[in-house]
Amino acid sequence: MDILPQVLISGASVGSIYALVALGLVLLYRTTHILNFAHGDIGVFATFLAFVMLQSLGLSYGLTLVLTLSAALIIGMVIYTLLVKPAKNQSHLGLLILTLGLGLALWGMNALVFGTDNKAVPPIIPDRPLRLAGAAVSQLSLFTALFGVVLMTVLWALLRFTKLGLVMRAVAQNQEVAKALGIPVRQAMLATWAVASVLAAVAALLFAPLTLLQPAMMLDPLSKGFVAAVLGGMNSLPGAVLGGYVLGMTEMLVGTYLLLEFKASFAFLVVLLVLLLRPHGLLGRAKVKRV
Amino acid sequence: MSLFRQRYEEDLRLIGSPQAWVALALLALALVLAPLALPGFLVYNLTLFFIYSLVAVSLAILVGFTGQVSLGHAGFLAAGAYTAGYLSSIGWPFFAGLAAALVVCGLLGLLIGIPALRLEGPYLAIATLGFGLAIQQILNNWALVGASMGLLIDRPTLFGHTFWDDTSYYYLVLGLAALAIWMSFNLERSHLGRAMKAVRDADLAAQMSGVNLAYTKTLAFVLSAALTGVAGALFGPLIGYITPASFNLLLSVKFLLMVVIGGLGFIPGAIIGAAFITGLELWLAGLLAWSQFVLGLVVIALIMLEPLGIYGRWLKVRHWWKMWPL
Repeated sequence: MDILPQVLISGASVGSIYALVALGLVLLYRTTHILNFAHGDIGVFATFLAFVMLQSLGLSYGLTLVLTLSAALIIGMVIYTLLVKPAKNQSHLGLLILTLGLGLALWGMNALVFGTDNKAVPPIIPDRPLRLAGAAVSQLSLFTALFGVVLMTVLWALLRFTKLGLVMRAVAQNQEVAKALGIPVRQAMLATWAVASVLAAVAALLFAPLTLLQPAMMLDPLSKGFVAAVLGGMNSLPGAVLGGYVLGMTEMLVGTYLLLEFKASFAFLVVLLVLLLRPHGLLGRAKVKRV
Repeated sequence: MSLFRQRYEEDLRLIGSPQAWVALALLALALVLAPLALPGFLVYNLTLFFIYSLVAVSLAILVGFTGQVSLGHAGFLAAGAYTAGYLSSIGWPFFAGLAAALVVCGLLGLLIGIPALRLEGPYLAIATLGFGLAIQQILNNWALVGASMGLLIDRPTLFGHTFWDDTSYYYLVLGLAALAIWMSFNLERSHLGRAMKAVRDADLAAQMSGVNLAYTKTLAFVLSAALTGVAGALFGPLIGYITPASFNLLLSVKFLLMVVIGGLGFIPGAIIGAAFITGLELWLAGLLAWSQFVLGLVVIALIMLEPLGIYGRWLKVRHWWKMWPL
C-alpha cells in the first residue's frame, strides 16, 4: 500500500498550522516591525480559555469558538495599547525583548492559572481514519488542512477587499507616507495586533487536538512558524503560506522516507541554506538602504 | 582627579580613581572569602553565576558591542560542554579539553558568523535560534555522546588535585572567569572594541573610516562563541550530568535577557544581569512558573521604564551625583 497520500495530507495539516503561525508573525512584522515571540503564548492562553469553556462550563463548540476568538481579539488590542504603544521609541531589538518578556510572563501565567499537566482537547470531528484512494487518511488532519486554507482565504479577502485591509497594507508599505496621507496609523496597528492574535489563537486551537494542551505546547510550532516566515520572507504574506506548506511537507517526507531522527532539525538546516542563498527569504524583497 | 577627563589616557584607563581600586579590592576579597562563610548550595550557585556571567559577557560582546542578536547561545554552551566532557571521558587533561572547547566553539562561531554577515534583524535572530535548536537535536541523536541519555562529567584533576568539593571548584571557576572578564574589558578599550561599537552605531560610517566590516562582525561572533565554549567547559563539570534537553531555547532566551536586564552594551551590566537571573531562579527554585512569570514582568517593566538596564540607570544616578548641583 502506498503511504504517499497519507504523508502528504499530514504534511499539509502540519503545514497549514505552520502557515497560520507564520502568517500571524509576518502580518505583525511588516506593519509594526516587531518579531513577536509572545505569539505562541497568546495562542496557548486562548486555547486554555476554550478548554475551560468546553470542559468546565460545557458550552457548545460554536459558542466556544466565537468567545475564544473575541477574547484573542481583545488580548491583542490590550497588548498593543498597554505595552507596545507606550514603548514606541524602542529599537527593534528592544521591541523583540519586550515580546520575549511578554511571552515568558504569559507562559508563567498559563502554568500558574491552568496548571502544567497535559490536557486532551476533544477534536471537533472524531479522529477516525478515512479510506481515500487506497490509503488511510486521518480525518482530523484533512479537516485541519482544509480549515487552514479557508482561513487564509478569509485573511486574503480581508486584506484585499476591505477598507481596513487597505489601511493595513498602506501602513506596512510606508509608515511615514501613510501618516502624511492621513491614514490612522495607530488604529491600523491596533487592528493588526488584533488580527495577529486571532491568527495565533486559531493556530493553537487547530494544533491542540493533534497533541496535548500544556503551557509549552506552541514552542515547536512557533519556532517552525518563524522558520516558515523567514523561508518565505518576513515581509511577504504569500511567502509565509508557501514557507509553511513547504516546511510541513518536506518535514513529513524527510521523516518518512529518510531519517526520522532528523525530522525536527531538518527545518533549521533548510532555513540556514535558504538564507545563505537568499538572505531575505524566497519571496521577500531586500530593503534598499539609502544614505 | 577632576570631574572631566582631559587626556586620552584617562579615557582608556580601566580603573579610574582610588575609590574604584578600593571597591575592586573589597569585591575581590569578598569573592575569595565567600565560600568560607556561605553554605554549600550558595557556593554552588555562585559558581553557576560566574559561568553564566561568562556567557552574558560573551553576548555583551556580540549583541551589546557589535549589535548582532543571537538567540542560540545555549547551542554554543552545549557544544563547549559536550566537547570538554567527551574529551575528559576519553582521558584528555582538563586544560586540553578547555582549549578544545574554545577552538570547536570558535569554529562554530565562524560557521554561523559568515552567513550572518548577509543577515540582519529578524533573519539573524531566527537563524541563530535555528542553530541553537539544531545543535540540541544533533546532540539528542548522537550516540557517541550519549544521545538523549546525556553525558556524565567528572570534576577535573589538576596537579594531582581533583576538584570534588564545590569550594575548590569555585576557586578554579572564579580564577578563570576573572581572567576572561578582564580580557573582555581589555577588548572593549582596544581598537577592536571601538571598531565593534562603530559597526553597531553606524556601519556605513565605520566602513568609511577604515573598519573592515566583515572581519569585525565575524570576529565578534568567533570571540563570543569561543568564550561561551569556555563557559560550557566549566559548566559541564559543575553540573556533573548534562543532557541535550538542558540546553533549550529558554536558556538562550535567558542569556539574552541577562544582557538586556543588566544593560545592553556594558560588560558590568551583563554581569549584573547574570546575577539577577541566577538570583531570581535561586529565590524561586522549584517554582518554574513563578520564576518565568516574574522574569517576564521584570523584563517588560525594564523595557518600558529603563531601556538602558540596571547598569545604565546606575550610570545616570552616578552622573547626576557627580554633577550635582548642576
